[in-house]
Amino acid sequence: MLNLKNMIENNHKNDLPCAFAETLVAVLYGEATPTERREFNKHYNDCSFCREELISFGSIRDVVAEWRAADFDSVQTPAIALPEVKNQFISQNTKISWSERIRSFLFLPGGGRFQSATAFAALSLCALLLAVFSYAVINRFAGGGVRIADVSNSSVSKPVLNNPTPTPFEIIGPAQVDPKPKKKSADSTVDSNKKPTQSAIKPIVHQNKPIIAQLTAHPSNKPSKSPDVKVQTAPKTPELAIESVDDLEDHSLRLSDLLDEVTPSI
Amino acid sequence: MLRNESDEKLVELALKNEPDAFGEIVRRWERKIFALCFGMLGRDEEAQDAAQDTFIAAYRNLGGFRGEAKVSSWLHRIAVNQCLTKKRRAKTRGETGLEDENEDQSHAFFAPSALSPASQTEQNERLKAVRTAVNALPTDLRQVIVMKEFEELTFQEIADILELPLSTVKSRVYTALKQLKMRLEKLPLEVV
Repeated sequence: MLNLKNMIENNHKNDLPCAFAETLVAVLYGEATPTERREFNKHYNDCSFCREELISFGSIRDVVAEWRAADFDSVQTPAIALPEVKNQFISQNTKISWSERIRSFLFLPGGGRFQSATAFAALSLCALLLAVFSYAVINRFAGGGVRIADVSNSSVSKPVLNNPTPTPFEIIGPAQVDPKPKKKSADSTVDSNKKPTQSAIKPIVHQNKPIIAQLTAHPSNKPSKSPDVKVQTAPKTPELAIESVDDLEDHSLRLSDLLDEVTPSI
Repeated sequence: MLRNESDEKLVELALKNEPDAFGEIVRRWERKIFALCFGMLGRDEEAQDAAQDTFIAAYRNLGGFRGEAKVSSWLHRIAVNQCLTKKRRAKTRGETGLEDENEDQSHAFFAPSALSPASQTEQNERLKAVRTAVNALPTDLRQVIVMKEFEELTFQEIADILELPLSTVKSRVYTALKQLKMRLEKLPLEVV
């Protein structure tokens, strides 16, 4: 009785013309339960609408079956050709996480915490060793391309330029170039990041100077006051070398000046 | 050996690179899927393409099959989507109804019959009318009537595939038959 109630409710809910419409379809296709069939048989004798529908629907089914037999049953099923590279298609949609890739790389089956930690530690160790090795290689083969600044001389690291064959004069050089140490270390830190100023360029100029000029630049190498070396102590000589780079004016040494230096007085 | 395995087990085996597992799934379902595509599209070539695309799409997405539904339901759903896509594309291309081509095509499939020329002509008219009537059904009604008449699925199976309540499937079949009756009533058919 409850089934019949539900059946009728469903039919009304689906806006079907008769309360037994769904049962009629189930009976038509032979899928009605015994209860449904019994109830429908009782209803069938009293409802001319359902009687007519059942007959006409049977005819429709026959016509559709005829169409199927004529058009479809004689058609062979097409051979389904699957792609040859099967695994490629499967793997396209199977996302592999990075942890799984690392595990598979390290031949670690499963996914325990310990194994993950081991894999992470091994990778970290590899990265550390690689960093140390690359640092050592750079220092060894690049000839100290990156040198640590003279700690004793300045509190702040300064950009040090490459020079594969440093001379004793250059080691002394930085103190010469920047005789006035900067007061604030913070400022000097900023300066080191900025574009090199004129004072920072000075060491380059210093290297390019003639040896005599370099010698004269250092206070410890100042010439004695003996009359023989008068010309060597000419005060303007180092300034000429520095200004020749910075200034646009032509203060370069002339041949006559060099001759004066080499042959002090004839 | 694989013939005794369930569909779900075959999917598992296919995912484990068992070479013949998916082939067995294809062998089991290709006829029904082709029938569905044929009923939905009404054209042999289109149906073949749709069936082919269905199994290729299923194979590509095999890794995404979670076993929540039956493999058959999953395949049918893919096939329905393939058919709807093809119909949409045909509509976009501005192709006319499939029944016009089917009229010419249908002659090729007729077996030599012992019917008289008059009966032959009458049968042709009737088949043409049915094709036209089925083709004119809305998609939701057409797919249930095709599943029922071409694939001979039960109401419960259709409900599972389309993820609809059982009563909704029955009412759709009823409505589809009602509409077919209305369209075919106008024709001088002996059957109706």
